[in-house]
Amino acid sequence: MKQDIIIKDLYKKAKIESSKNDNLLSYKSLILSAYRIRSIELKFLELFSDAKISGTVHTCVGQEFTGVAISEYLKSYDWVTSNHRCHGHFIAKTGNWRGLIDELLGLDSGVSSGIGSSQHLFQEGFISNGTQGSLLPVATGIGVSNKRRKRKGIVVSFIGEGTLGEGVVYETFNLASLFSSPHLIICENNYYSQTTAQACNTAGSISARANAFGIKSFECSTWCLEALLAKCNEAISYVRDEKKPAFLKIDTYRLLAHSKGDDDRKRDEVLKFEEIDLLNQLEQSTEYKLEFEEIKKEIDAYVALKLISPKRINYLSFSTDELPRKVSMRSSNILNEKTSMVKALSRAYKNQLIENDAIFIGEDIADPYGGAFKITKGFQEHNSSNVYSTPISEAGLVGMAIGMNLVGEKTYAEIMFGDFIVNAMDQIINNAAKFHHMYGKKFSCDVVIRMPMGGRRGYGPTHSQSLEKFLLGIDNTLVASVTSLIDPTPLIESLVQLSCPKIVIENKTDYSSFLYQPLEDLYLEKIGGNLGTVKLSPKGEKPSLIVVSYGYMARMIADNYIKIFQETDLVFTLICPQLLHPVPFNHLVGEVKKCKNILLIEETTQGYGWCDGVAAELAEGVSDINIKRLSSDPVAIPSNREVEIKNLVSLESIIKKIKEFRNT
Amino acid sequence: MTELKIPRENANDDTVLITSIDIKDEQFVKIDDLIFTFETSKASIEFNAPIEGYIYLKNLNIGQQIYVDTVVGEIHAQKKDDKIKDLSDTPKKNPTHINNSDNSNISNVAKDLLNSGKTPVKNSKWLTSKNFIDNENTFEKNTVVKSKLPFKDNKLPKIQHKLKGITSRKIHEINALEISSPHLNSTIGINIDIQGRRVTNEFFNNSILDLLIYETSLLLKTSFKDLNAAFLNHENIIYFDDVIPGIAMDDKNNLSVIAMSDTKNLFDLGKQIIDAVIRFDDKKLTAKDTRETTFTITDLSGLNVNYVLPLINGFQTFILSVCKSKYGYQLYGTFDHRVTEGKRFSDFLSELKRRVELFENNYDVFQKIKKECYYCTKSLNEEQSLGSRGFLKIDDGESEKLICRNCYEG
Repeated sequence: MKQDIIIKDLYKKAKIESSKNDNLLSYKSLILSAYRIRSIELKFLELFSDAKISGTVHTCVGQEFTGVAISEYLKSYDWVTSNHRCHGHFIAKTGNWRGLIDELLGLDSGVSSGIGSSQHLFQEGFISNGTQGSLLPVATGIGVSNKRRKRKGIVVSFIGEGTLGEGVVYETFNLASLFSSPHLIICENNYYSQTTAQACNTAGSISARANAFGIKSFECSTWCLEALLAKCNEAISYVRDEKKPAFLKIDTYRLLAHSKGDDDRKRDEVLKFEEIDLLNQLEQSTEYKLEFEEIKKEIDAYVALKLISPKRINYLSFSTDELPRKVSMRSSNILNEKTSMVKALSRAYKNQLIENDAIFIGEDIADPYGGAFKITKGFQEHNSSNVYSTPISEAGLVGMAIGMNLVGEKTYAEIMFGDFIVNAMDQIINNAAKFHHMYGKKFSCDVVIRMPMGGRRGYGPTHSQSLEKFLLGIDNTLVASVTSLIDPTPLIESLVQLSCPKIVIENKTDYSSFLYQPLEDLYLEKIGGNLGTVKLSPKGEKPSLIVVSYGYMARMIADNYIKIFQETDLVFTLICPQLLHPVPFNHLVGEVKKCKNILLIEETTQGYGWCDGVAAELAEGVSDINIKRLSSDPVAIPSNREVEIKNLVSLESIIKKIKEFRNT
Repeated sequence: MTELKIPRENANDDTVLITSIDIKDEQFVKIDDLIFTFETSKASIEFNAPIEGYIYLKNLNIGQQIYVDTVVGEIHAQKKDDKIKDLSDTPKKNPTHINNSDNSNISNVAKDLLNSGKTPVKNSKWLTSKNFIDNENTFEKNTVVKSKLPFKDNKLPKIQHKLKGITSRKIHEINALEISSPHLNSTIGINIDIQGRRVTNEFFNNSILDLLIYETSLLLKTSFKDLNAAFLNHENIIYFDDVIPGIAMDDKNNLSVIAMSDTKNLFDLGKQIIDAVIRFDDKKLTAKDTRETTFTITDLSGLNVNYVLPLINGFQTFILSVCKSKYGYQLYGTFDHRVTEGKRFSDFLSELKRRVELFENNYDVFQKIKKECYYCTKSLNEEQSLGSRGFLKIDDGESEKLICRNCYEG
């Protein structure tokens, strides 16, 4: 009922607006552009019906003028981010309608090489993704980088009003306002989120949401072209001149289903809006008849041509990723200087700030505080334009880092406690990881996201976890683990060279360790260069067992090597990979073939973790091996230190597990 | 505690033959669990556990002939010598006497072994219990084709012994033999022509059994120690500390191998043999008679046969069997290829033949004193061939001995 009232008011307003469409000849090119968009959309629906394309498509029929009007005032160096209903925005911004058709036909000449299809389009200056609101903080990051670099470009983001339900929208409002990002967020308010009426989905005022964050808002509709153009110009000029964010609400109405058949609106309601639609009205007139037919013919001919001999992307070349899967077997002795891990890490990252102008984004990282664990202490004092201390917005800050990286910055996003990474999973999985393959391998995101994991500080269940297992196996995303067994500087320097997203797992307890100095009877070496594996082996004795672990666990084992040996009567070699995904198996398999007893240890909870993946890989690759695993108990980590120690992997549990190998 | 005795199943059978043992020593058994199976003259019978508990066997071996009423084991309610330690109460030892002069890292187990007086076989910067394993004369190990083990549960013989590794050459040989041959034994025959007449008990008028046992024992103690052994598995050979001859006797109903004790002279050995035969005939063999032996000999010289392929007894390397024909005695020896080679065994047979044939030269008329140097076992012939006039006789208060000039002069 409420929706009926809303629609009734909308129609009334729309009818009045549409009656103001005079002197349209001066907007002929825009009208033709809009008509081309509509024709292509209708062609896509026809191709679906003929089973020439599959999947889904979200047409913007009835909303074409939003993209066209905005693009009228954009420059080539401006960026546009869009959503699932992106075709009109794409064609208006880039003019590459042929590339869009190729993309939906799945051809390797498509804008995303036929991989992304309808929702995932990329061309320099334009990017779209299917998850709602996901690209908003990315866009803010682009704007922040432009401002930092004193570039003229602004960034425009298109969302629907349904996206206002996503929390990342408000994180973006906050960040864009705080950092004064030249970011225009356009809400195409078509009064329906898929099939749900706005009255059921969106509370309060749309524009007031932006206003609450100190962001200026503008409003208009698509029914009067002149008024629409004027308002778009005003909004864009504001963002460009003031270098501040703005919000533009454009009332509109989609004339077709959300995607392809999901339309439960009343037919007479839709018919009413069809009648006042400008393109429908112009189609019936003789003024544009010839040009409209030309456009249709051109599109039909192009599609017919492309359907003759479709060429798809080569899957083999597509399916390779950017991750380093093999390391050299070159061995080198490790000589660690006498410094703490926190100092070593801080120095390594600061080197990136100095040498590569790297940007550090995180919560509470500004000086004098310098972050919860002081890794970035002193960075802002060194160069304040390289440090962005954000509010509590994991998704927002990671998105911002991705956006800044998209336009050429080397960015390091810090998550204060690794437990909070779950808030940024969409940014990692659906943005950073996907960019390379989703957009046809046209570019990569090489953002670094770093976080401390681990317990033993009594911080309790949500500040002590080791959640790296949820980050392993994400496509095209490298996961590394630093350890105080070795100076992390070479690893961090080498990560910069990789063009994929990187996640660096640090450890809270390990921060306070001094870099490891091996005992006289133990040999510490690195196998495989800066990304390689650390190996601690007994001098003059063949080991009975290989223990594989990483991070702080590896350090704990190394520190207690003699005690473990004394208690278990077994001499072992400790292998500590610095890469958790992908693991350099060529080295690990070589070690395992020499000694068939292997114990895998990690602090994360039992089941479906790193140990399990490595065990499965080794079991497939090497015969007759005896593998055991040790992880923490799968319950919440207690705060009380005495109880916490019982929950996590401890020296006692390691000794007990190693003893199980005694009779093998 | 419950004793396990061999039951009398019928009036005629005073002994039974053990045909299988179905449990391990110190194993926990429940009531009616099968412990072993034995054969009487009439039937095969299962011996089941009368109560539940931990079983401890006594002198029970497959193939053994045991008298009825012999106690062969015990069942205890609890494990004997149960040493469950409460670690919190165990006082920590302070191994102050451990020699750590080479700055080894020592595991706790290794420390305990050092404290108990054991010395590591091999020193290492990382001393573990593995460094205390007796690997004397261990040879390089190779992977071999696994074959059937000689005895159930891979039990070791009870006779004191040492384990030594198999050479890689032997392992290759075994591999080849196991693929190409149905068995791993060979038989070599040799003629023995006794010089002179034996003035002894009429029992040995037409037998050289005593001579063979005596000389074989001597050879196994001196120059052919490697034959006093047995193949255990593809990694180790057992070398027995003592030489225990066994005489195989068969009275159609029972086949037994009777062990001989070590004797200083042929005369006493002859007496032992005769007593053993009498006990065998009277079915009064004791457990001592049927204990394990390190080699076996069968005497078929009274049976008018002139050829035999004797089969090696369990946990032994060879068996000798002697026949007699008008041409003299034929000695056949079957040996285990996994332990020794044909050449070596031939050398042994040749030396045995030489010593037996020249018995007259080596013994006094009553065969009490062997004419050889008690110290270096040189025979009188050898001594005389070196220009000496003979041996010197020593009386040390216990017995008279002969010694050659070289050994006397040191």
